Amino acid sequence: MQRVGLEIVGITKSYGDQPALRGVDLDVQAGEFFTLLGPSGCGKTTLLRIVAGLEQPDSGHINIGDREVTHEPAHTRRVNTVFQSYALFPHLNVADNVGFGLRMLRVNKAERQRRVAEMLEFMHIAALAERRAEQLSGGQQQRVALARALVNEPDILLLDEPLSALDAKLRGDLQLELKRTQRRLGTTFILVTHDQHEALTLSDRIAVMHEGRVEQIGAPAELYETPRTPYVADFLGLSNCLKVLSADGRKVETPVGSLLLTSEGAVGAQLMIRPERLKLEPEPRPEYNHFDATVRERIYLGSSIRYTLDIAGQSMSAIVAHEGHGRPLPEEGERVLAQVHPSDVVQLAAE
Amino acid sequence: MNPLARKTAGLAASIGPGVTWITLFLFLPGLLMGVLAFMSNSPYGQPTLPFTTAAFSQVAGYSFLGWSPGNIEVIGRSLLQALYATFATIALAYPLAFLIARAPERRRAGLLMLVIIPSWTNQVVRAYAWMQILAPGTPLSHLAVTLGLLPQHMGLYPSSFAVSMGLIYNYLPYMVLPLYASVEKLDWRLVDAARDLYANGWRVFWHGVFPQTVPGLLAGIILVAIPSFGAYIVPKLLGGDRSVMLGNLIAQQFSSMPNWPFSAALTLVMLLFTFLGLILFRRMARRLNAGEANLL
Repeated sequence: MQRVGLEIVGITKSYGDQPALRGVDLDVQAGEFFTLLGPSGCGKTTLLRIVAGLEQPDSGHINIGDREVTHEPAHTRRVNTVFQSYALFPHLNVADNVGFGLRMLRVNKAERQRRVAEMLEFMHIAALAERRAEQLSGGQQQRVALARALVNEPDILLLDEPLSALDAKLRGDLQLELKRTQRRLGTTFILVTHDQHEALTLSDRIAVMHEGRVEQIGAPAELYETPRTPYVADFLGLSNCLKVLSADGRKVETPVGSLLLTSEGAVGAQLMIRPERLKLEPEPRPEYNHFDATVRERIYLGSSIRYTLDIAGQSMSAIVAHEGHGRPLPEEGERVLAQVHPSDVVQLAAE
Repeated sequence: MNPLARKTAGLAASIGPGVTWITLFLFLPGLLMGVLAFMSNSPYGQPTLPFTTAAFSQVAGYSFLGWSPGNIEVIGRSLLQALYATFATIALAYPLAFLIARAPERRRAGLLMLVIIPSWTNQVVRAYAWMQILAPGTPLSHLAVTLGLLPQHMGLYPSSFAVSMGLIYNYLPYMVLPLYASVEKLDWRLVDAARDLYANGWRVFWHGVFPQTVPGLLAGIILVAIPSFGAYIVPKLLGGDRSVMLGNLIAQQFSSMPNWPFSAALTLVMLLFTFLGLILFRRMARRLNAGEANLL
């Protein structure tokens, strides 16, 4: 299958005087699994609908491959969508739902049946072909919706929170399946989600959106390890933020004491420490930053334990892996030594 | 009281009124009609023995004078009028239902009232209103004459056309209301899905919208077609001698020239057509709902 990328340039869109998108620029590589991540109301779904052609942008343009499609209607774009609620046609059975797009494209019946059968096989839903949409479970509907979109061999597949209606266990299974499907087909996937774990699990790259703008684009590890803004840091997992009060080269003063960074500190900047990078060990490690801390709260999370620490009057979180044996973990009220390596202290852009 | 007796008493109390009602007002009258239809008519217009199928021959148009097509024509006319009314109300109700359902929420109740209020006035009054509109010399009749649709000095009333107008006007609310209910809760995401899957223009309507309105449409068809088929007041007031419908023919047999077996037979024939219509309708409904891959 030919791989096609997407280029979004300066897209704006308002509903009445409510701006939904305030100028979005994005490049999605051909064959990439790209995710638009953000809370509800950040404009991610609007952007997806604009790519699908279901909404018109106020300004900016969209290229699919090397063709501009900004003013093309939805039905002429080689793009298909898996909708949030699947939007299967309730009056059609599974096979007819999946064959719908091909029928609209006036693909002849024999080929249509062949491709639908192939796709049902591919998605492991061949046994459901004659079922009506309303007789399917959530997971089955999700597969049908995916099959209905993919059977048309779109240049780009758009997925609007496709897993949000499913329970956690099934969601996990289908995430992996979605990722494998994308790898096997090599089609460009663009996923919209508010679920950071889903985004981190599935994506080659993620664009974190905030109030109609793209806040940061990068690979999952890049966004998690080196977020540029407090917003991105906060959205992708837990974070401890500290303000730089004064700086002397790589040595900075913060409300919890002095800290050594790997780069020069800037006064007023925010520092971010992921809770799992904060070690709670009695013996000081060389090269680490050390703080005296008191355990305020200890929450058992199964595979790990989450601590709320008091460090010089500041509240900070630490997550410690539960090893099961070895050193006993600190209890509530205990005084501990919190340590963090300079490279785990990320300097964010001041907001 | 033992448990079984209590259960029986409870059952009797809960379904008793319904069963009594249906027995008294549906089953017994139906039985009476069935028996009447097979009786003879006395010279004084009283049902009498022996049992015979003479009344049905009369319905088919046979009398001591030989065969005449009159009754068959009346049945055919009634079917046609019901068909016209159904199609016309569908054609009018779809845009209306969408107009109302897509209006701002605060205005919807008012718009619905505009549809409903006319049906609160007496049918006779409404029929007289149409007489005023369609009578000879009115603007509409003038227009029809000018266009050459009517001979000079004639009116659109009385005529089969006037009957159609009356029926459409009477039953339009019964098509609009169920359709509106369907349109109002329409899942517009299916419209997006259809557009996303390469449908455009009327195919979006046909595949994304229409199937969702089928329940309302089917309810509307039943509510309009059956009463139109048996209409009495509208054809009596707006139709002439050549626009008589089944309801009028039946009424005639009870009053001016009493012939109870004949009217009972007519009523049975009418019921038969209604049932036939409903069976056909069910078939169609099933097809529409099952959404055979190629509806058209």
